[in-house]
Amino acid sequence: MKRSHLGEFEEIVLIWVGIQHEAAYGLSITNAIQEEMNRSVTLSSVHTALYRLEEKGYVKSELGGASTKRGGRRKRIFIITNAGREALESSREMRMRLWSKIAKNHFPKWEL
Amino acid sequence: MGTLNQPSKAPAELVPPKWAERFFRWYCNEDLQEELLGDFYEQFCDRWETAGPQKAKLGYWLNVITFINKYTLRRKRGSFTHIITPDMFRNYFKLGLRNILKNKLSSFINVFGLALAIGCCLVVYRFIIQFYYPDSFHGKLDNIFVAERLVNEDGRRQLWGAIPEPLGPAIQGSSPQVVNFCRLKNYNANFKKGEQIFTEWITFADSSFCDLFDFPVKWGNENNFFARNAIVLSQDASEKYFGNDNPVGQEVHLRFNIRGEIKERMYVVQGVMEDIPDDSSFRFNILLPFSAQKGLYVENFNDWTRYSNTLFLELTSPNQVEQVQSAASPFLAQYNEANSGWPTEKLHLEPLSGMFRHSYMVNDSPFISAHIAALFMLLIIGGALLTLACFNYMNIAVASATKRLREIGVRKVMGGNRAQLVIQFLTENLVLCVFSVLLGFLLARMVFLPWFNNMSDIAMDLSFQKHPSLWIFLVGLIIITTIGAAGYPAFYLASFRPIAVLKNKIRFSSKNRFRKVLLGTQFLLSFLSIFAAIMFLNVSKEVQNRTWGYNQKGIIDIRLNYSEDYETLKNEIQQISGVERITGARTNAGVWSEKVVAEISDQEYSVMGLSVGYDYLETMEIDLINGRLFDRQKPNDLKSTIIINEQFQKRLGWEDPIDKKITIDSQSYLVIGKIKNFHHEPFDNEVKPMVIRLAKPQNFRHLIVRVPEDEVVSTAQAISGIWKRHYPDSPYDHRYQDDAFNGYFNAFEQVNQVFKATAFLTIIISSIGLFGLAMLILSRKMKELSIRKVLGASLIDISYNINKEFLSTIIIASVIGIPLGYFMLDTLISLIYPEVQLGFLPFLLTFIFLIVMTLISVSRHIYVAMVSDPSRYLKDE
Repeated sequence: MKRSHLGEFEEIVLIWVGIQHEAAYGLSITNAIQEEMNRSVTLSSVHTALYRLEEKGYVKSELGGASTKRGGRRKRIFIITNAGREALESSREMRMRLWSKIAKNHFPKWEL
Repeated sequence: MGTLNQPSKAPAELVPPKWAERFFRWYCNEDLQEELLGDFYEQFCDRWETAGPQKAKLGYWLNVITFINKYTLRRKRGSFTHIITPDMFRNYFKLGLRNILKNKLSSFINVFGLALAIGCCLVVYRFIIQFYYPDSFHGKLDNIFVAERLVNEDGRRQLWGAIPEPLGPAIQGSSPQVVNFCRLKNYNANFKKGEQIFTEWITFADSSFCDLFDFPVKWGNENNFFARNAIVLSQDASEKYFGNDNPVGQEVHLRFNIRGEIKERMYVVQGVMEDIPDDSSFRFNILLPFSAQKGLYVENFNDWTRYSNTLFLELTSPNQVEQVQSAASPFLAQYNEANSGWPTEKLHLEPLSGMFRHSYMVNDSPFISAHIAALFMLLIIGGALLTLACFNYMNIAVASATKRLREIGVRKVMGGNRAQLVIQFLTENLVLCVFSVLLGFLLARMVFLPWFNNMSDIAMDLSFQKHPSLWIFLVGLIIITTIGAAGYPAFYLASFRPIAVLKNKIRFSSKNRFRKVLLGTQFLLSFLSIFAAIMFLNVSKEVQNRTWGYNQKGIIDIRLNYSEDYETLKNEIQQISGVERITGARTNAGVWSEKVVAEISDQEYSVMGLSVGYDYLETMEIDLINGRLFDRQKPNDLKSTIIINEQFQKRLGWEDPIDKKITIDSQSYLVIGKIKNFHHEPFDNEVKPMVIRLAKPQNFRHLIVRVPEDEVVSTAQAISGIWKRHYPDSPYDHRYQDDAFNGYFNAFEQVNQVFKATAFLTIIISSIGLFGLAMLILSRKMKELSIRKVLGASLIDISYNINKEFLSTIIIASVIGIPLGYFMLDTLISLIYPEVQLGFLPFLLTFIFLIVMTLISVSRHIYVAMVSDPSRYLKDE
């Protein structure tokens, strides 16, 4: 499977797929990002990110149950794959490694 | 699935915008619709509660619009694109070729029919190029304009091409927008080659000619073309007098006949032109400098009563026409003052590039032209033939669908979808259409275009080098015929349900309305084209047989050039046996008559005038109604008597015209006779009021000899001998009077030819189409016919059975075709020839023709059905 770069927004979406374990679908992720991260996103950008992640093999999807709340329509539930988890971890490791390289005094004083 | 897509228990007001949802369902991939609509709806409900209905609806719309992306769109088509691979196309092409080879007869019918139609379309297209892009070889084409005079002829506005000679220089001097001008003046001169004398058409041109135009030069240096004593020959003239040698530097002697006075001039050949390009809208033969006219018949170039045939103006830019036109008005006033005729109101500038489709409106225009009606006629014909051929294809393709049902069924069961099948059939047809276009191109090049050129006197070729747009047209034709012919069959074949196909449950019946409409349209088109051909044949026969108002047969008209003595010739010609009468004339009916202004009790009338010798009316056999003809015994006749025609009497409203007075050019004439109307102009002009006066023999330009009809040629030859003995330096120019309207008849003949050819092609295309269709219908009906035969059906029963579908369609087509044909041809013919009435006979003839055509096309199949062994077709069950 093709391993490719994980974009910043994709990473956030992928993390949320992980957080909302087996209950993540387009709207739930959109709402979560909007409410908990105070970041304005549209449904379509989240979906686009999800499809892209699916293409990259970081998530897989299946159609879940229907609910009257959705007018009887089923949801597509996204589940993070092992590859996705690895991608997230390697991304985090990379970040941590870089963090450790920043000397503390390089930050502006007041932030410490 | 459908129920899932419906909101089930939603409160009544919580309905998302209907159009947004509809739009989304339209563009979005079906796989994604459910989940996305679900998300939309959920969000919509949330927002309804938090932000209100307005924002919820807006948000829904925004979602629908922002979701247009490659995932929602692409996945839908993705299922499709990955099947359309080069391999697949290769397979389709192979299948297409195999199908063509397998069904040789119907492939031949399709290819041949389409090729005929395509060949015609190519000719039409070539004609349109000629029509719309003539003279394209001139670099300055866009800036070159042709000047014409708009003349007010008693309220009728007419364009005239002849322009007063001084106008060109005057207008260049006064308006800065005119860069250059070039006048052309046509004249005749005699060339002597050995013993023979030829009259050549020469053109005096201003030296700006080479600057304005880019006619290709074969030999010589353009800078010397208009030097003193220079002459430039066309390739034809050069070959005629010098063979294949380069004549530059050679001396040429030309003889001009200026009102009886012979002037000989020597010129030096300075150049030879290449053949004038086909698309040139004007032609010339031999060029002389405009200034060379001086001393011949012009003394003063500032004479406003003298004309040049054409005036070209080169403007600084094409949008300065208005300024130049208005700058010309003071000069036109000067011209009007110098001339007594109808006043010129305005100078009209027409771009040279438009002359081909404009000049038929201009009097005495030397430009080659075509009437816009001809273009429409050809367009309609081309379109109709192509339609016919496409319909043939459709009919045969639909009728032969049975042969491919299994294939379609299997393809569908194996997962082929409709779009794939459509593409498959279109690709297969593409192969056929490419063949047709190639064959059509060959036909156009080798048969149709030579025929059309020969008939229309326009030289056209199909060269890709000169007309690169032909490529585009050919590719366009391939696409149009592919889609036009195979579009319907492809969708029709692809629409079958696989189960029905494989279970053999598809029923073909004559209920297929569409096919009947196709067949009906074919019959209708055939009906119209055959009808038009018969009608035009009829009309042209009627026109040929119309009486001219005198006996035009058996008259030889010999042109005199002032220098010959009428009496000498007359005395000698009288000795030839068979010569019945000899007379002379200054102006001759049907050839040239002049316009004169007749004054009657202070009222002016513009009428036609003939000046003739004694015996002219007797020689032409023009009938006298009352009064008398000119009489040699009455000396006053020569100066002061006049004969008028019926038309003039009618116009004047005179009861009895005899002894009335008419004044022409301040000379008073007494009317001595009234003659029957005769046609001095072709039949499309009505007979005009006319006066006939006597002319003196020294003014005669025509010597007219009446001989028995079958002796015209031998007598003309005998006269030629006399002429050469007396006037070896003067060309012998004789015509036969009954050729006078040849130009008019030729135009008729051209239309006639076009319609005949169209009818011929229509019949061929329709017949082969019918043949193929009947064959396919019959192959389906064989079982039925075999049972009928076993039960004792006769030949008549069987032929009725086969033909009934065709016959009912023919009747319907004729019922539509009769009023339509009547209307179309009535309009067309009343334009060309107002007096012809359409009879009923052509309709009947056309109808019978169609039925005979159908019966002949089908007869072979009836024969096959008759002689076949019924058991062969009944056995397999």
